[in-house]
Amino acid sequence: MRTFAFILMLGLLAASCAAPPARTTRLRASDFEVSAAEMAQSLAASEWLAGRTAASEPARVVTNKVENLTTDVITPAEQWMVVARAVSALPITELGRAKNISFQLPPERVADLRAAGFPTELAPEDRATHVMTATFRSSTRLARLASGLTDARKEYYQVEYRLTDVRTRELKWTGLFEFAREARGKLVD
Amino acid sequence: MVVGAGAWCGWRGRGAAALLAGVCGLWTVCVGGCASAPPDARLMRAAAGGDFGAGRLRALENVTDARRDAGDYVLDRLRLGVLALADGEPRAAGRSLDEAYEVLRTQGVNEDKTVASAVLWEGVRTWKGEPFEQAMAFVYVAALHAQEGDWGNVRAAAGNSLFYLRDFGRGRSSADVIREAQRRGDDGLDRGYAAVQSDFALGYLLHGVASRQMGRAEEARDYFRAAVRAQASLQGLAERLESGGDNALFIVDFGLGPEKIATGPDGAIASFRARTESDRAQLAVLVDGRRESFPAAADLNEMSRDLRWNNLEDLRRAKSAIGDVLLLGGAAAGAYGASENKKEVALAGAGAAVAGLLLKAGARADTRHVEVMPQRVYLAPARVGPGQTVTLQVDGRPGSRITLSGLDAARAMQPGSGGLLVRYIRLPVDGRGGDGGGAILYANDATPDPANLGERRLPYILGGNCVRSPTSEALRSYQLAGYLRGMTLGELQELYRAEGIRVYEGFSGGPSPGLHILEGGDSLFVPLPGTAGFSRLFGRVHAPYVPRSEAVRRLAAEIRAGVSAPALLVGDGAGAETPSSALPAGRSPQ
Repeated sequence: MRTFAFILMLGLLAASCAAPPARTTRLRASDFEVSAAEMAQSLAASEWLAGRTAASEPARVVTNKVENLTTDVITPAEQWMVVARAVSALPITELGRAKNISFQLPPERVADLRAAGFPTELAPEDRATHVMTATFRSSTRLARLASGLTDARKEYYQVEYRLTDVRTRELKWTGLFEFAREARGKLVD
Repeated sequence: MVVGAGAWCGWRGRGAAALLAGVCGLWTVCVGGCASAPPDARLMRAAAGGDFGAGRLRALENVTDARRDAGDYVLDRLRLGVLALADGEPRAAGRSLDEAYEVLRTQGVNEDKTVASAVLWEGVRTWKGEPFEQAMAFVYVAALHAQEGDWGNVRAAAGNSLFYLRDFGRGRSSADVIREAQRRGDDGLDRGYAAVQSDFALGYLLHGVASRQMGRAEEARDYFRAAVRAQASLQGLAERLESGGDNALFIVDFGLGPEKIATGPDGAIASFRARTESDRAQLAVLVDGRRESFPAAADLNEMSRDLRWNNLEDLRRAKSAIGDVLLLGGAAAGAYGASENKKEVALAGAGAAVAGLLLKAGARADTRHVEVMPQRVYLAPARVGPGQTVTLQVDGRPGSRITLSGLDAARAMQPGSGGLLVRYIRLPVDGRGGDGGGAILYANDATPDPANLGERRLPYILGGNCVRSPTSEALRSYQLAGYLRGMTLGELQELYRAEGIRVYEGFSGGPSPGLHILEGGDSLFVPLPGTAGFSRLFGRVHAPYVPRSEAVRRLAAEIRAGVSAPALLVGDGAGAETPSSALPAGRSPQ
């Protein structure tokens, strides 16, 4: 009996400590952290990097454009933060060292990120050999679960990277990374 | 009621009358105490008169509660956002609109307050506004980002304004809807409607503009067509915007939006009445002698009267009906118990009456609204050449006239905006101070060398007409004009510190400035060029500056007198100091 009561208490405690349902599907910069490893894998497997080594001619990749095509307002600072986190993540920097690639940002963005407290070691743009763009997209699903009004929203986010050779204008790599956010609660409220 | 109670007293005894009088008194207190705060008259006067600086500061005073679930969190921030946008102050506008947007995008904000709002008063809920107010909030977020050339976020915000509407059928009143809901036994109005696409033409137009600026031509076409379906009179405007031949777009608000009032039994029904009447007056735009006119793209009076753009008040009426039953029954039971010396019955009856009173008081409609919303919104594209000004006026409303200046500076600030400069403009209903005709009378950080400056190239605090930040470039310009020779940058900056003036540079980050020194405040900043705030500050003559510190007072007096202070005497190389003959004679700016 005591064991049962103890288990019941643990269950109640766990239930009470469970995270409340999210109330918003708004994007956060940290949402894309999981994609850095995937991004490194995708880059490493690309034809562009197939023949590259640490002794190859340096490639300087500048992300020069981010675009928000989602249904949510994402400040430019947040958009650039997502990109900065991705290209300065360990898997990417390690790949860069192995293939003699540096990832750079426009100088005004580096200054903005540092001012925002982002500890970036990314160098400002310098004689780019490749440019990269990042495009954010989303699609929305709505549902009525507990009431007659729409009270559940799920947002499917995507960020697509496209890397282009500056001289030849040839598309060298694309990467598409996705995740979802779900929120409960009446949309009208 | 008290007289009636007194007459009854003679008949049934003192206890019964006292109880009835007490219940009635409590009813009066409850109804009065639970009423929404009245609209802020000072804010409305500022918005109507074009005193956006004063209005912005007044709204800022009310933004005190940092808790997102606080009742007026969104309301206070929308008030500030609207007025800060109007004043051309993007710091306060950006922060407040971002915070409001965060809550508007949050679901179930009031789920924990359902019981409290049902039992007590609708006003315990976190205000999120009627649907038409929410749509306008998203428009302001879109306008904020459009001024920065951030088209992705304009597209997203405009898209958020185009949410589906609940259509309970055309030509039906809220009474029709609630009767049917009551027949169904549906308290929440969760059924009996069709979800229809929005008819918010302004939202479609803004989305179309953003899509076009992002190179998404087909998407833009879809949205412009949707705008015309919603409002046929916008055909010409939509075609113009789709063609993309303009280099400027003005989002223009005019008038004061409808007032939300409590009507019906116990004030249970919220309805709207116009403050600025609707009409078909077009917006006249004058550029370099060319005149064009554009129709309004949104009319908030009409939206507020449309059931689809309202939260429905029928639940409050139902609550009021319940409250009446309890009140009458409770008071009668209480009086009976008192007269028959049945204490338990009397107390229970009084308790029921009190509950009934509370429900009746809680049934009073929540009349909170953004009193500085406009009555109508125009979109006006234009082709503006270098050095040209733009004059805006609602036809037949001379008090609404504004001439915008600083547009060249505005364009220079926005490289990569895709060639389209956007400015949000709030026209006054009854503009005081007149329209300056587009002249820039005070040098500032955005336009440091305006043509109208004349010879008084001297800080405003010293009697000149320059309100640039105290920088080395500004000091050099003063010295080239013959003033303040020998003064160092540190000494110049010290003068501002002595006056308690705070200098704000740029247009983003940091705290919001207060009132500008030109208007008697203590802040030195530049509103966004090309806005009404910019024209108001730099296009009108202001009263001379009144120094607060002895140092500035003395220096200003010496400059006026044409006498150099010893610190400003130019050395002649031989060790003797002589007055400089290059200093121009002092002249009042007035």
